[in-house]
Amino acid sequence: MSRHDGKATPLRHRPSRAVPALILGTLLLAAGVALVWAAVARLVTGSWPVYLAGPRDWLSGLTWNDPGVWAVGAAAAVVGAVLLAAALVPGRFNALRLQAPEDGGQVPVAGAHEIVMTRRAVARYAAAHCELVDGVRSASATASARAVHLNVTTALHETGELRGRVIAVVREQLAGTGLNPVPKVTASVRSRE
Amino acid sequence: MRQHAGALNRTWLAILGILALACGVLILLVASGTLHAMNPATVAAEGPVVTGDLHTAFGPAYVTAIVLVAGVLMGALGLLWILAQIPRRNPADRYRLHQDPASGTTLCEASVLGSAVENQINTLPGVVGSSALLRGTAMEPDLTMKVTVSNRADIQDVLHRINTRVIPDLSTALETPLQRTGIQLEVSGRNAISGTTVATTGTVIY
Repeated sequence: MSRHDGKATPLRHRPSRAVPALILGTLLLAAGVALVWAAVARLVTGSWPVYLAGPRDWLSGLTWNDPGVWAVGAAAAVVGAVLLAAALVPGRFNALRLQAPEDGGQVPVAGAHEIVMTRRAVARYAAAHCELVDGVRSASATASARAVHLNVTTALHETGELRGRVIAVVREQLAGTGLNPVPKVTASVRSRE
Repeated sequence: MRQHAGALNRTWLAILGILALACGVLILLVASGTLHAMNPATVAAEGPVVTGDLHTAFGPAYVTAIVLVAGVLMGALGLLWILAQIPRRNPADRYRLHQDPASGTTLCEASVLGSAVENQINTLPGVVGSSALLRGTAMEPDLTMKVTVSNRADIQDVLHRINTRVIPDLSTALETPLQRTGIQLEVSGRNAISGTTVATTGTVIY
């Protein structure tokens, strides 16, 4: 809604909480449609729809210490806490920051010059360079904002030496890309015939 | 590259969360009788939730109008919130490059400049593909690029070439320094458009 200003936003951001927003948006829309439906039915037929009679009778005979009221209160408090948590828990960044090359001279940018590499890109880059190491049969990687974990399979029986070699190579390659800070590299090597 | 409604979602989730939590706690306080014990003027736990007759309360015609308006408002807000979740490119309008409209106007589609930047990036060694997006105005342009490089590319070299050739060229074309730039790097297993390395295999015969 506020994004028609043609302004750039940071490329490195936290999750946008689209799922809880979509659920609440759908619930709001459904409640709105139900209310309009009831009002139109009242205008056309002269009486409120039958499905409202149940809740009306339930509400009329209700006292505050009824178990139903307890349940509604507890549910509302829990839902409220969950929504607050969804809004306040920051979540993980989608990308890692890169340093610009130092010998690049003066870049004609007045404000921020942001360079990022997505977590998926870092993982793919690490896995690709891991597969170039001698002795690695296959490799996959996962990346978080601060660490990269490699899953390596090898035909070698002795995996300890390969593990150290793989970590050293991948760490050097990631440092060479300009990632700042350089993520911590860990690896688990499985021996497979 | 695309923009999400993160701030909007956080704000409304927090507002609705606080409202729901406050309502829930209030209901529990009334139901347990704590609120009545603190202040005898409030409703007792044994008291009815609805004091009047609901059938007569919903009788007048203006109640129907209120329900209708409330329904339309809730539905519209819900629909707008759902639509706001669609990621948007939010590109710049046409750049107006003229100084004095009396002596003629010069308009430039920002997407044309974006494709020129893309073409230039695609010629760099190690680059598999790219997309560039201009935002802001002709006087204060923002450039956002998504550059996909091959998984064996020298990333610092690609960045160096973008910083020393692509960005200065756009800045020269617009005759103004860029307000802000963003480069989002992606990595692909495909071969680069130029400067491709070819994998070869062979047998060594002794």
